[in-house]
Amino acid sequence: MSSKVRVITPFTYLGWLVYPLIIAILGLLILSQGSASKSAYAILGGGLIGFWGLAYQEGGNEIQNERWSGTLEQIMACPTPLAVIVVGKIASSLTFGLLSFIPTVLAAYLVWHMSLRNVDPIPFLVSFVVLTFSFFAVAISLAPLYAMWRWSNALINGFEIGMFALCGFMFPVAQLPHWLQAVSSVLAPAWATRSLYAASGQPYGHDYWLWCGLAIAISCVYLLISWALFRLVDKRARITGQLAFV
Amino acid sequence: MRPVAIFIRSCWFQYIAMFNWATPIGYLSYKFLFPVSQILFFTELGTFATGRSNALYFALGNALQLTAINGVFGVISTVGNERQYGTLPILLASPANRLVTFLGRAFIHVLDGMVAVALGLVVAIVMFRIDVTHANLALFAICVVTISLSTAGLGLMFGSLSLILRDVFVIANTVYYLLLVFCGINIAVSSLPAWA
Repeated sequence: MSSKVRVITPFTYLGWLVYPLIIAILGLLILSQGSASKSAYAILGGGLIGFWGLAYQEGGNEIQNERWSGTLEQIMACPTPLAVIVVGKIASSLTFGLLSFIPTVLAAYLVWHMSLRNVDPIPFLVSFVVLTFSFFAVAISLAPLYAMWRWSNALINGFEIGMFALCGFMFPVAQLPHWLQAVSSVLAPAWATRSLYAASGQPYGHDYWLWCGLAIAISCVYLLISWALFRLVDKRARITGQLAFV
Repeated sequence: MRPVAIFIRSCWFQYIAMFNWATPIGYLSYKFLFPVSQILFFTELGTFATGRSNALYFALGNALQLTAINGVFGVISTVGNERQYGTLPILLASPANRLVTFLGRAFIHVLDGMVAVALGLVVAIVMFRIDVTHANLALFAICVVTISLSTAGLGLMFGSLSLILRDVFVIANTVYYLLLVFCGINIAVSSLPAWA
C-alpha cells in the first residue's frame, strides 16, 4: 500500500531521481577536477545519497504525514502495532531508494564515461546488503521520534546533509576533523560505506568483515533503541491520550 | 503608522506560521544545523577533490547560498502552504492588495536570508579558519543584499506555480539544489560544460 502511494507522490521521484541526480552531477563535476582514483565516490556517491535520503527520512516523514492528515491516532489505535506499520513504510522507501543508483550510475557512465573498474564482487555485494540493513536500522530508530516530538522533522531534516559527510558517502571520513571522525564511528552506515568503497577499489585495506561486523553490531543497538522508543510512544500515548508529547 | 504596523505584524505572522518555524528548535535547526551541515559537506567534498587551499571558495559559496533557504524554501512555503492548508481561495478572495501581501511574505525572508549568510560566514571562519581580513566588506554586503533579493524573487516566481501545481515543494527542493550546481557556488561557472 505504501509503495502504491509512493508511485503517485511527486516527492518520491524527487527522492530517487531528481535529488540524487543533481548531487551526482555536482559530485562528478567537483571530483572530476581531482585524480581519477576518486571516481568511485563520484559514481556511487549520488546514488548513496539518494538511497540514504529516502531511508533516513521517509519512515519518520510518513508518521509526520499521518499526523498532518489526522490519521496518526487511527493507525496507533488499530490492532497492528505502529512498529509493524512503520517497517512496511520503510521497506517501501528502501525499495524506491535503490532506484537512485540507476540515474546516477547512468549519468556517470554516459556523460563522464566513468565506471567502477576494480570491484571486488562478493565483498561489494555483502557490504551493500549490510549498508541497506544499517539504513533500515537508522530509519526505524528515528521514526518513533517523529511520533514523540513535532519538531523532530525540522531537526532531522536540518542534519540530513551533515549525515552525508559523517557517513562518508562522497569522500572518506578521514577527511573530517578528528572529533567528527569520532562521531562518525558510532554511525553504522559509515562502516558499511567504508566497506563498500574498499570493495570498489579505494585504498582502505580489506577488513571488510570487521567493518561489516561493526555496522551490523551498531545497527542491532539502533534496533534495540528503536524497540524501546516504540514502547515508550505506545505507553505515553495511552497515558496522556495524545501523540504529540511536546 | 497604523498601516506600517499592520504590514510588519502581518509579515511576522506569515513568517512564523507559513514556514513551519513556530518553534525555536525548528528555527535553530534551519538556521544553525542545516548551514553547518551544508558548509561542512561541500567544503570537505571540494577540498577532497581539489585540495585544502580551495576551502575558501567552497565555504564562502555555500555560506552565500544559504540565503536560498529563506529565499527559495521560505518564500515558496509562504505561498505553497496556503494551498496545502486550503486557505489559498480565502486569501485570493480577500480584499487585501495581492502585491503587498506577497511582497510582505518575501520581506522578512530577505532580512533573515542575510542573517543566514552572516551565520554561515561565522561557521566557515571557525570551521575552516578562513581569512576574511582582506575582504572588501562594503562590496560583500552589497552582494549579500543582491543575492538575498534575487533568491526571494526566485521564490516568489516558483511559489506562484502553486496556483497550478499540487506539490510545489518538489520544485522548491529542485531549485535549491540546482542553484548549487549552476550558480558558481561549488563549481566556477566558467568551468561548467558549455550547455550549462
